[in-house]
Amino acid sequence: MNEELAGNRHSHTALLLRQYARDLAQIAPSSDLDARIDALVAAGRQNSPASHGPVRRPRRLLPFAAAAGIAALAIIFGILIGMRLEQSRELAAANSGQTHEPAWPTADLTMWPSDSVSFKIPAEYSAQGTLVAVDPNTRNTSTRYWIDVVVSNDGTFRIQKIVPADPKQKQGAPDGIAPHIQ
Amino acid sequence: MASRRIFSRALALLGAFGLGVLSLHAQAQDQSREAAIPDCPPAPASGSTAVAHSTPDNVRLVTGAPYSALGTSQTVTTLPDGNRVVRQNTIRLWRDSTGRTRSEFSLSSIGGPTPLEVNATVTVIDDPSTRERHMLQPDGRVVTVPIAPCRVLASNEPDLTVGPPRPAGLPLKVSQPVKLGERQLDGETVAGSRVEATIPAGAVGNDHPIKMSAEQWYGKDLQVVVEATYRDPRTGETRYKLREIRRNEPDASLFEVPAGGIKRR
Repeated sequence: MNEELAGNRHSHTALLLRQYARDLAQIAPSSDLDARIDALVAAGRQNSPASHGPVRRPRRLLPFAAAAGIAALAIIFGILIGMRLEQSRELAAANSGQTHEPAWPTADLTMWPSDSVSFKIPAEYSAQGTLVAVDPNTRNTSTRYWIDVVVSNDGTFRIQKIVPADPKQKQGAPDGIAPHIQ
Repeated sequence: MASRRIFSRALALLGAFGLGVLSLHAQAQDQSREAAIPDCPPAPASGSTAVAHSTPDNVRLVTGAPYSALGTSQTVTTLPDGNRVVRQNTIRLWRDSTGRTRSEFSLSSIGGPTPLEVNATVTVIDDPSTRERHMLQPDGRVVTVPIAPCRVLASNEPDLTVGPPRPAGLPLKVSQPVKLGERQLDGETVAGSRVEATIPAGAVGNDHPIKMSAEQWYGKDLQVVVEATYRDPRTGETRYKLREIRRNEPDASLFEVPAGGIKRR
């Protein structure tokens, strides 16, 4: 039974193969195929960019250039805004209620012009209640202050402001303004 | 396609505008830096009647008058029990012909009734031509900050009728400054003036008026205060005197800023 079925399938496949061979034998290239290919190639040359002058750069770079330009502008504006915010933060800190002038400030009775220098000195109150300058690189033993000092070449030395140091700030002088404590 | 073209043109315009603004800003900065240094006002607090303190960073350009000197400021406080406390700060000063200055401040005590006790040295080099101040620290660090100098004119004498600045937080009555004439001091012609100030009774809980005074002698060639006496019963008497005045050109190396570690604010 199985051998009979296998024999039928084989003969059917052989029949199909013979028909396919006959079809292949009948196929012949079209006589105008080459002419049509030439026409298509010629038409393609006429429509190509080379036929319109110099080669243009692909426009794919434009979006990248635009994005880079926008990013550069955003960075510049970001830096400017950051600088403004930093300045306003410093100003707010300077004007905050914690900042105070020394009690009984010395009177400025300067009449003649002079040159002056301002700088900050880190200091803490001693047990005797006096302000004592401290090494900016040491850990604070009590509340630390930045003392704004103005010295002039007319012999006057003044305390301008007493500002509590920011406890979050790392030990050391802010921006290196503090003088060296011997 | 058309919208893409419009977008690209708008972007190009925006970029050109941004570049234009940046270049204008840079040009303006260059021009302001190159602009001539303005003349100093005729008085320390000219036109002001309620100034808390003199300008913190005051820099004057004096050219053609080199010198070096040592300034000593000594404050003597007499305590109620008769005890005396003496504090002293010194300033070493140099200035070259071009107006560059070097100041070395040796500080021990700063302030009034409750002074800041400090034992520190600060060296400052001012270069008005570059509008920069360099603060040198013994550990080698240098901090550079911008300054706004003004030019001192020898013919432009300070207007003493304006008087000293009035502290805003202190109820102070300041008298009109009195001219004390001129005299010779260490080969320098100095002009003197004196001013008195009073804190009225009761203003700060005081029974009697608190009387203060200042007397300053100003070197007309050097354009600096050569001698001064400040009296304030709260702090005592402070005497300032410029000594060891030499009118030679200082060594150029004094005005050189050490390389490295420069920071800008």
